[in-house]
Amino acid sequence: MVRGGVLTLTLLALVAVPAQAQTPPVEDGTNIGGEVGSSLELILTQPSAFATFKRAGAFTASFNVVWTTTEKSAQLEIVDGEASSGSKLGHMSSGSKRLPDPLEARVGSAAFQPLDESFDPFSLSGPFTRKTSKVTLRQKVRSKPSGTYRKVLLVTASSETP
Amino acid sequence: MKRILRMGTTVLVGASVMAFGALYAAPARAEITSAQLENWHSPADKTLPLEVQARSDARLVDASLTVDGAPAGSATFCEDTAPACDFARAPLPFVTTNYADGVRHLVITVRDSAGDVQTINSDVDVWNNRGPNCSPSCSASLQVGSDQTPGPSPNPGTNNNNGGAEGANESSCKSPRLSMSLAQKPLRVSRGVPVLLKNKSYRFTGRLTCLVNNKRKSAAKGTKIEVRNTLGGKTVRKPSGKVGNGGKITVLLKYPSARTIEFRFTNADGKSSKVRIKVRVAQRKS
Repeated sequence: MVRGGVLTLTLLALVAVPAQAQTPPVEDGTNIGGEVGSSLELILTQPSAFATFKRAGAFTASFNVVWTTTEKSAQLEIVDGEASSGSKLGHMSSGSKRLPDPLEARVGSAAFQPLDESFDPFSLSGPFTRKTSKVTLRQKVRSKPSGTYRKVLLVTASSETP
Repeated sequence: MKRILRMGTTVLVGASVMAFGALYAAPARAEITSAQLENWHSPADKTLPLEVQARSDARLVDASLTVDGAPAGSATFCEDTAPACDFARAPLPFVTTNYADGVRHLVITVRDSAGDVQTINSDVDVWNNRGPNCSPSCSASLQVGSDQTPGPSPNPGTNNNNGGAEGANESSCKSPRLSMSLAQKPLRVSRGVPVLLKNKSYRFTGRLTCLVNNKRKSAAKGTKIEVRNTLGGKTVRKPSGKVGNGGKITVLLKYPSARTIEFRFTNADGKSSKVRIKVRVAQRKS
């Protein structure tokens, strides 16, 4: 379903200054409006990898979200793309094993949010074109785990309707 | 001297209209009326069919277009044989495909025979390489892992560019980074080593990225990946694999015995990136 939004532009008349005439400039303006179709785009860049978990500590990785909206605002949500419930929800796993601490994510400089709980969407005022937002992932590791741990994330951008 | 300039378009371009506007350059003693909504728009794709309308007491000569300071076209208003040319229109199409996506600064300059010039400045957001519109909600997935190299990034969302443009082959691939993994479930995993079924084909997938202009990008399609097998202290070369779209690599391998598989990429400078995967082989018990 395509929803429409209204963009209003204020036009300012540019002043023509003839090369030889010295007439004072005149400015004027008017408002025009146009109905535009709602547009939304989402592009994810390749994430940087977590370093191998060789010791206890907090490891981070990041990727960029490049998004576009014609609406007045849009929101970004990051959730577990593999599990919707259960013990693996929000936890990086390796086969049947999982890390005890959940994977955390944040958009920009917002606070980290654990992915085993509902994610408070990140909102941004629109419209904007190809805006890049950095998503940082953080994994706390209590002790050196064995194996390669992975997690599939689902990133969703949506337009907020006022 | 009285002059009015107006920029507008005559044809709506595709479905790329996101914002409308009109630009005016009015004379010093302008009589500005309500703006006429023209089909000027930004972002723009393909060709934006601009048309310049000018008025002057002197004979209009031409209009020229520059984009980011570089000439991008010009047009004359009237034929030399025309008796008068004090009010005329001239097409001045802006071919956006000649430019990379992003905001471009347009300057249109109109000249008359008296030597007077008039300019209109405007910014246009060029947007040719957009993904499909997925309003009101877009989703895309990606995989993160604790490897030293990023795992393949499945991104079955609506418009995934999966890591940027391709643009590096053996000769231009600086600082190659190869990641490979077994994409199918093995028979079992024994002490961290996947146990494969004897002589059954298994799919190994991965990705090769290169540093291009200090940005990590997918390797060019067709870039060769070397596959070596080490067993019993001997290393043998096997038929190589090739990089597909988005730097993705898919190799099908089947083995009758345990070995270490090495995937290796070496660029023209001799820098290599390799991934070793140890596998064991077993037969299914009947």
